[in-house]
Amino acid sequence: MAKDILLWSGCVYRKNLVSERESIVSVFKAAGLDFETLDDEGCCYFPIFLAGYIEKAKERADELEKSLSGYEMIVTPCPACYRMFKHIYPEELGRNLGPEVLHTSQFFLNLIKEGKLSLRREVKMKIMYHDPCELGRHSGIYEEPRQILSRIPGLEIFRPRYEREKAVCCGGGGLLSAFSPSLAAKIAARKLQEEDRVPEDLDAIVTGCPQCISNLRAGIRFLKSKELREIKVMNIAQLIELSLGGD
Amino acid sequence: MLNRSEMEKIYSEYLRQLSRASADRFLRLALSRAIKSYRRNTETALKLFPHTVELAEKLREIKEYSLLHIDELISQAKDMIEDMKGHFFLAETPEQAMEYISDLVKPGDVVVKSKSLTSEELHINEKLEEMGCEVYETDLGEFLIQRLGSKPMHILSPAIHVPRERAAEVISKAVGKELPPDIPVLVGEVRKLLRKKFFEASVGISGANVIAAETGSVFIIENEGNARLVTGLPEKHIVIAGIEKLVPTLLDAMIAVEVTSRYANYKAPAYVSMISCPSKTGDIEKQTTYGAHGPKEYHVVLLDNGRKEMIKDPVYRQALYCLRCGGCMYNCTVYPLVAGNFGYIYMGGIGAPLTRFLLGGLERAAPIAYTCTMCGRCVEHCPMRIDVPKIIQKIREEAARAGIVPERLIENLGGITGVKIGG
Repeated sequence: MAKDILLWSGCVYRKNLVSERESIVSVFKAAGLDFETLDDEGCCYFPIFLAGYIEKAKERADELEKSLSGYEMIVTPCPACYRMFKHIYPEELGRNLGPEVLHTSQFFLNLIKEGKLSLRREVKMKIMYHDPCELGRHSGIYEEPRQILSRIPGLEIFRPRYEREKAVCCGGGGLLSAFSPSLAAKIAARKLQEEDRVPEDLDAIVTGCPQCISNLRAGIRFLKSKELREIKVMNIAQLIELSLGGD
Repeated sequence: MLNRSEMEKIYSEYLRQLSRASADRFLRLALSRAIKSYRRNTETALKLFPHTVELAEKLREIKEYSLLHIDELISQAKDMIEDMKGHFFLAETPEQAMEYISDLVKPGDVVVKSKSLTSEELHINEKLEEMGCEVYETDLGEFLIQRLGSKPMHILSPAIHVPRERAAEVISKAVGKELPPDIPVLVGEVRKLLRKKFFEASVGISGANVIAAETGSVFIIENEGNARLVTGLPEKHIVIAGIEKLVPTLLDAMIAVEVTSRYANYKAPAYVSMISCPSKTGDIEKQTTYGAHGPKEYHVVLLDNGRKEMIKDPVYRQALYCLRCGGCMYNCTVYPLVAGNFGYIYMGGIGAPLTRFLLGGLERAAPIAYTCTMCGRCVEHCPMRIDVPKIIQKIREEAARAGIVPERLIENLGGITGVKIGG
């Protein structure tokens, strides 16, 4: 039955965040799970829907229904894919794709609670969790990523000025990073400096969205000091990976 | 109407404008100060009056009810205003409104105005000037904008992007003497200049924040005191407002006043004017005579201009709940970087549906819609909880059907998703 889990990576992870994606796969493996991936995954069509092509998204539902049937659960690290499968297809487009849909943060937290992943190694880092809009405000998932991070020993957590429902968007949402990548990046820089007020000794921003990862990285290049420009942007799986094992 | 290549020009020009604005350090500084002070003041006001949040929920219901009963409220307001010797006109189009107003002014008239975004739908200043009128915007921000020939950059603080040095240049030119960049001095000079104009003016034009249908009373919220003079000194007072300003009762209107003010960062605004008819006296023999100290003639022009079409659609309807408090912009993802350039005349994400229906059309709304990150943070700060991302999605769907999705967007999406979209 375990093979009924599908890891759906999403376009951004497949194309642009290859090593970050590998961390996700290693966490799956570390938990000793059987899971599948699709060679011809394709697009969830959230970006196509968001661009306004609602009919094309409806057409895509037919294909997805076929390729996803037979899986009991889809686990995705991309909040856009998550929202598309979990909410947009059934609620906006009238198409239920079948399998249960989980974001990796929900799935990993369950594994931790079940004892399949043990976070024992100290991770001496100062990090900030960034709430992705698609995951937080649009899907209501605020707690799971925080709970995972709070279980990692040694981690120091910096809290931005605005969090959860009031969290400030990185600028990469709503396809702005495809319409005007430069504006989206400047927005990210402003958000980090003026809204979050990230400190210079911050090691990394951790977030649950590949779109946010890409856009925050683009924005970090505009920050005013060298220390700030050296802040890393990581996904939750990378943090888990650092903390796996140990005694 | 929407040629694809012309649309691409609009997108390019729009993005160039955003890019210029985002590189403007003075703009950034001015905005960041304004945002800081807005957020601090609003927090204080809401802490002192925590019931405002519940009142806002109630107001949303009042607004929804009002829009769904708009014809009833319009006719109620009309009857009361006419009963009390005011004049009422329902304009379906800006042209009709302008024609009505044109009959009330003559060449050479001095016209004083207090802030009204709705009047922009009529292009009223240009039209009145073409007729030979002298038009004065009397809100300080609008006064500056009018003289700079630029467009407002925030709905409440239109000159949010103008630093004191630039204001000094503009006001120096208006009064014909060199003035220092000293804010109180500048305010004093504008006061002196406009004081004369208030007395010279034969027509005063104002907007309205809310209108109580049961009595036809118009409410105007302000701090500068200019609206009191605009609506009180000239012989004629003309109100221009969208039909969505109507609510059933005086008490409903007061709720709107309270909620609007709080979310516009005030504990209480300096002034709220409630105006129901021309000024009058019955002090001699109980004979009512119109035109005592205030205006002798009072006109209310309500504008439809696409609003009834918006009301029919449950998604677009929400945009008409907007109180114009401006809170969304101070909490927006995009606005703090580029100000009102993220917009057409109506600005910010909420500006997209207003642009689509009221002023500019889909070709001007689409660039705004594709700039919004649909993050939903404005919804969290909106007293009416207007679902801007949902509205933006709807405009994008219209753009896709019209074949005017930005080419650069299609191309970049194709690069990431591998999905090819033709045309």
